[in-house]
Amino acid sequence: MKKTGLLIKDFFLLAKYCRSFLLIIAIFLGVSVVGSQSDYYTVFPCLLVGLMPATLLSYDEREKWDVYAQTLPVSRAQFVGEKYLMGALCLAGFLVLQLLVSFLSGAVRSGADLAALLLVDLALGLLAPAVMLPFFFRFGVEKGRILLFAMTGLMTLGLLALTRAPLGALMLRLPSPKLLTAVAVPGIVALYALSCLLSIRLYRDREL
Amino acid sequence: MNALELKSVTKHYRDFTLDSIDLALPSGAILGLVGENGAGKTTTIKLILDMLRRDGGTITLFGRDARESYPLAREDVGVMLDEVGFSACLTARNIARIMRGIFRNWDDAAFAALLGRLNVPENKAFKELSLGMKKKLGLAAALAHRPKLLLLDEPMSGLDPIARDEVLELFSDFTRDEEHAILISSHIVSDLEKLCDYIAFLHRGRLLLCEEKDRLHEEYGIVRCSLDELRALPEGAVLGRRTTPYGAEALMRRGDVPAGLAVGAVDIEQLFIFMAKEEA
Amino acid sequence: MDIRIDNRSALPIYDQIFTQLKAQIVSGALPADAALPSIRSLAKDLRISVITTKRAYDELEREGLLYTVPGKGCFVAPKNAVLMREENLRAIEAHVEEIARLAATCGVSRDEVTEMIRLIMEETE
Repeated sequence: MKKTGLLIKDFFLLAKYCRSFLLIIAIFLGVSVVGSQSDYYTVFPCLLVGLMPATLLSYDEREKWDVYAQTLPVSRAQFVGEKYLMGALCLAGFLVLQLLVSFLSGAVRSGADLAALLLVDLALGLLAPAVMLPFFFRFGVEKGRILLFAMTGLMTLGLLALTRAPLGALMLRLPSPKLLTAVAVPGIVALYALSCLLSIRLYRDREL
Repeated sequence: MNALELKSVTKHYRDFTLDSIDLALPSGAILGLVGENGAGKTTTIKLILDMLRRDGGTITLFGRDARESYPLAREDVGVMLDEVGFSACLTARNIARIMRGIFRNWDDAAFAALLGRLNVPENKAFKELSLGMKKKLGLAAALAHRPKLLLLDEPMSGLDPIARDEVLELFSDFTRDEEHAILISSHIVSDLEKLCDYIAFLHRGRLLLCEEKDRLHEEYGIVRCSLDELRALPEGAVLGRRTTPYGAEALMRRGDVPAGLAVGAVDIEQLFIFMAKEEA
Repeated sequence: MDIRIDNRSALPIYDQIFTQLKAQIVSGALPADAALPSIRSLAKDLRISVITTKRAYDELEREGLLYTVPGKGCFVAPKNAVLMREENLRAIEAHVEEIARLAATCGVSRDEVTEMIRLIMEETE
């Protein structure tokens, strides 16, 4: 049974709470079209995208929507799954914009550039939440705040380090970059899905 | 058929146990769960909804095992917990949109009508509403998806007398349909006194009684007598007592009262206090 | 139909309803075959328990003052049936008073009288 209501609610939250997030993302993307910044300007906002599910969950926790949701005809699995779905949708939306912007700014010149960009996006947008979310579903975002800060810090540092070197070139230096991409992309997606299943398991056993 | 049945429901916590609760709520009836703060009322309601895992006993909803029928069975249950958990930024309109995507039987018109009747503004953000407004909004949402059973945990706490009256009227109207039932918990007994068909006393996790409210009035009475007369009363017959230097009040079954002593009516609140104190 | 409930009264609420309705039926204020409100709607309008109104109605039915049509509701019993019952009740009371007086004069105990009544009623049933 389709429970779109949860998604609708999170879109409302996005629209009302995450305006600053969206603004930052828009600025980054806009600047990279206009200026001749590093190709990787467009990647930074993906950090925010990857933090989206955890952010939404933290709102739910604070506003007691998570408790309320248990009185609705919605299973815990659906509750968890919806957050993962939101993450994926936000990332998908971002990728489309980013692609557009990259072509417009001429930053993306080769297949290798594109692949590198995609990998970093997926790492930030799927892999990072895949690691964080089970922890938050099990212990709550409040308790996991340290983890949130640590992950954010890690991701930021990683990004800063990456932008020193042209990723495209880095990619080409790796052994069989094409194979790597072909494996890594579905691999990360699969990990994301597995993380969802794990989170469902962990959330089911929790007493709110 | 019983809308709700609890048999030997038990839940253990480190410093509190909900001990073997038996409750039956027939369709068409209203059951008031009376208890002090911390007695286990909220725990009971959460157990019914399977929000907490029970350690023993069975719960059936409209004849089917509750846990197995969830989450779909919650379509037929309207819930109000003590805290209304809507996201702070949502307006009533937003909530209607969301609920339309959650409940099969969501009725927008009914929701709008309820908001009108309760005077809840449609376009104000949840965080800007007063406590009373928040509760009324929560109630409107609980009623607008056409549930058959209402589970209400302290729905009237924080409401002013006028709001309380409006809300009681809503509950009364809800059970005009004999397929509907309400379980309402409160520590404000006077609200329940008029409304309920059945009353259950919960004290420190134990059920002290569960009976037709009218029978309680008929069965129990308060005897006002001297301290000597109190001592003369058979031990088991005195279910509760209060003594002052000038006399005593004893809670007894009317049938047990010896001839010659005057028996006065007891209201539910007094009954609960007497019985709870005696348990201690 | 006029019903007033006094919460402070020592009389149980179902008794108050019963008494008031009975008075109106006997006096004719509620005519024969008039439809009475359903147990449920009466309870809700008076803001009392359904169990209470059901009890009041059950009592009225037991005294022959109303009858139930399944699926349709409760109706006031026909006048003559009501009046007749009232008259009969009064006659029985008068007879009982006479019995009590007679028993007192010749020392027949209450238990003996009750036993006599019981035996005779068993025979006529």
